[in-house]
Amino acid sequence: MKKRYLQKVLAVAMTGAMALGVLAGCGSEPASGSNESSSAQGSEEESSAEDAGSEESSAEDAGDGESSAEESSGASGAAGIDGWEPFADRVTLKIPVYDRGDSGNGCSDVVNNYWTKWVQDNFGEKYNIDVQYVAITRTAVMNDYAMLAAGQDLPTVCMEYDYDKLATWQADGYLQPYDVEQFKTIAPTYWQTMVDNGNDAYTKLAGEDYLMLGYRPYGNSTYTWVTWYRKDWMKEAGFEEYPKTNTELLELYAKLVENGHEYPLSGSKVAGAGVDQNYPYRDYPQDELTWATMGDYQIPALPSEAQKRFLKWENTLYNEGYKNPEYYLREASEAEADFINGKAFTWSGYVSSTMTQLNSFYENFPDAELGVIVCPDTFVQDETWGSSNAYRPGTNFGMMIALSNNATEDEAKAAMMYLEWLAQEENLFTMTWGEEGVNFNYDENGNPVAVGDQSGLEQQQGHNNNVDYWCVVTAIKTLGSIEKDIAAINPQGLPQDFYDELLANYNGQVAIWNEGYANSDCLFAVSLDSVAEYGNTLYDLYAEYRDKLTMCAPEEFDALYEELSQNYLDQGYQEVIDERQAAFENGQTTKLQ
Amino acid sequence: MAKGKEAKAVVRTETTWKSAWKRDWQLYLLLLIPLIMVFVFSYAAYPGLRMVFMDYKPAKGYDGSEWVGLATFRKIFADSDFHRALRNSVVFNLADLVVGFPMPIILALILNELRYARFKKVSQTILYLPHFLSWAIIGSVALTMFKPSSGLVNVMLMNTGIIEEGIPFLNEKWHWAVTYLLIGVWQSMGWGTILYLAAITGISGELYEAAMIDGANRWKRMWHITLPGIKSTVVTLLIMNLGRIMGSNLERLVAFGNTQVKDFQYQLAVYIYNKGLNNSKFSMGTAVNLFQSLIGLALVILSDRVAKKLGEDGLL
Repeated sequence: MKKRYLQKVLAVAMTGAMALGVLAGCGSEPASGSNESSSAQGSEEESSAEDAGSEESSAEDAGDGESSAEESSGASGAAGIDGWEPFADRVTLKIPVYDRGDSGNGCSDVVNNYWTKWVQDNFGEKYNIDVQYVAITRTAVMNDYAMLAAGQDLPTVCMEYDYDKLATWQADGYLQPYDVEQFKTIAPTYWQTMVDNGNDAYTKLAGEDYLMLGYRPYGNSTYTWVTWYRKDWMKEAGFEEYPKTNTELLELYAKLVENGHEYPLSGSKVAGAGVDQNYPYRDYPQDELTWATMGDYQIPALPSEAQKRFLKWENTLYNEGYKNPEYYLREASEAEADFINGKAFTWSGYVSSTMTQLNSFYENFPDAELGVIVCPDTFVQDETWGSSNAYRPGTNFGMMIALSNNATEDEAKAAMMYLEWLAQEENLFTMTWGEEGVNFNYDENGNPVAVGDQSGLEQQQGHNNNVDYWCVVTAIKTLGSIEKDIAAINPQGLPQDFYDELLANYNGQVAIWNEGYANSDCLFAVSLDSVAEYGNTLYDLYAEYRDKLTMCAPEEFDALYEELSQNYLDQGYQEVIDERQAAFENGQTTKLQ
Repeated sequence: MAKGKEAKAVVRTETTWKSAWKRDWQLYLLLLIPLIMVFVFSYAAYPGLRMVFMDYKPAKGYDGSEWVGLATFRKIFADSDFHRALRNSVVFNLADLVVGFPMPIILALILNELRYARFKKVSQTILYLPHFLSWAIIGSVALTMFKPSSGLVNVMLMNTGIIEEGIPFLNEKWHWAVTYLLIGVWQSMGWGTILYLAAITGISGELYEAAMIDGANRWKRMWHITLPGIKSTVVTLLIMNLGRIMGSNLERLVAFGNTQVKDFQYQLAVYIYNKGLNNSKFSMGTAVNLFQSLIGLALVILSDRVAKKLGEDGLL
């Protein structure tokens, strides 16, 4: 009898447990990032419960049960951080952070690490805010946000570097406008930086104020994106300096192959819209309407003359045997490995004080000589190829931040406080440089120099010295002058020093910009339906067509280009052009500088 | 009197729900678990299907999104990419069926004829293994093996002088189609034998003994005893496979995809992913998926009817 009773109890218990297990999947738990961090945040909440309690009581003492940052600051008559009081009730602030995958993150967990805890301890606890980071897959931003939106679980702010994405989110109802006056009161430092850089002119989407804009120092150049080349190979080929035109480049490549360097340009498949930029293949000064309708790179402008020139060049490189014939099957990491293993002439990447690729390269080839491709400071256009040293500059703004539609009033204030707090010099410095003696050391001039290899440190910073956290304030860490800033990102611990070339490249780009050969893309103050409708499809189509055009026989190129170009227009690009033209003519765009 | 009582007790064969529950409630509780799972994961999401008639925006939810009737379907059916994806899905799934369906049957027959038990077990295990590999792994292994000029197979063939130029296994669409289908067969055939082998063990040994006494050789025993013995299993699986004729496996397609073979690789799963999920057009993705499911259901019902007409048990 006893045994049967036990069996029954066990059966009921197991059934209950399994049924609960099944139903557990039906909850509305937030997506990946916040899930992963929940346990840690739980413990943080526990440990901070006492503090929060005391803060709460102090807020009540102030005689305002509904305390908030703005009201508190208003009450004390002081604007900005000095006027803030902690929230009476714990406020949850969800901030997106890019997850770049294991190899790109630096620290192991982007939503729960030493630095996220540092923010919580120094900002969150002080103002009774629970700062939670939400991981956004860097390569699937729109998808991740869509999933969060579908679960009614958008982070407090949505943010991206691309204006188009913000415009789409606004049109799809992800965002809410903000009160600029309130922002000025809560975050005067942040706002002042926007004003100083002219970014206060870009807050509007569809006629309302949505955007808070991070600052991009040196927005008129792209000096942090650098191409290294094998100077020793170049000298061996009889060239003293890096060629300035494509015609000269072809001569160099031919010599490289003659010298036994097979497929010197290596190559990998197109990944991401930013790859096939045609800015150096345009004629300058640009035609303003073409610039407005086909001037961006988010949707590659296959039917434009510039893109045709670019693809013809690619076709030549492929057919002459300078590119790896299997490039379209290869990942970017394979091209990188080619360079590290001495099989490629060039490699491009963002320069930083810590560069594992260069460390590995010099380990393999300690006697090799590398150079940095320097932008000539005068405009040089190749008559044969139409190519030049023009480039696409950035803008004065970096990250674009907007409040999500589900942010409450207090959460919105907490978000503004977060921006202002991070914009404070001492906080920004610690987030960007880390701790002295651990993440950086001062040189003889008193400038910080990052420690090259931080792996294994508890304080290990995230990707590119925590950029994905402090990007809400500035796109590049700056010490106030370009010389200092380049010294700060000059790769450390290598047999060669690249400071002079990095500076010369920056100066060359600025000279080109001053001469009017570097124009920012056209920005649209309205969301364009055709871009949302066809953008992705056209990008996929472009990836297919550009490979066909790269790999076809040179004599077939023109005919194939005409055919594919027309098809591309028919598949939606013509509609994109028409809608952009209408917006341009209605004065809803920026103008060509 | 006593006799009458006994007779009454024997006659009572019908069970009421109440008495059944009292007797076997533990079993019914256990049954609850799969029922809840089926309900939650197969039916609870059904109300969400109404998004196919809406211009669904995630941030606006169901209440805030606009009703658009059949506009999404009209747009899809007018889309040339959809036609391409539909054509490829049907053609490749049919080809998969033609090439892939008989293989496990043949393999099961061969395995069944193996007499050395240990060899049989080792062979089975080796054949099952590919089933446990993800498509991402199979895709990258295939890339290493079959790249046009640096792939292992082509390098070997070129080095031995059998071919002069690499065979474009993965980068020319017709070659790709063959590679794609054969790797699919390789991946699934071992696992597919399990059901057939189980069915074969259900065939009475006496039939084989009788046939041997009558002088039937191995081929004849296979043809006249084993195959008829597993016929109903074959028909059931065929019907189930026909239901998948509109489906496609995104992982498999992505693992083998590249820009040179998009003409064939662009199937419905890719279409749904690219145009639906990637573009945040959930209504569109759901509509295509619903279309796939309805055609699949129709095919299952139709083939079930045909099977029954032909005298088989069918599935439903």
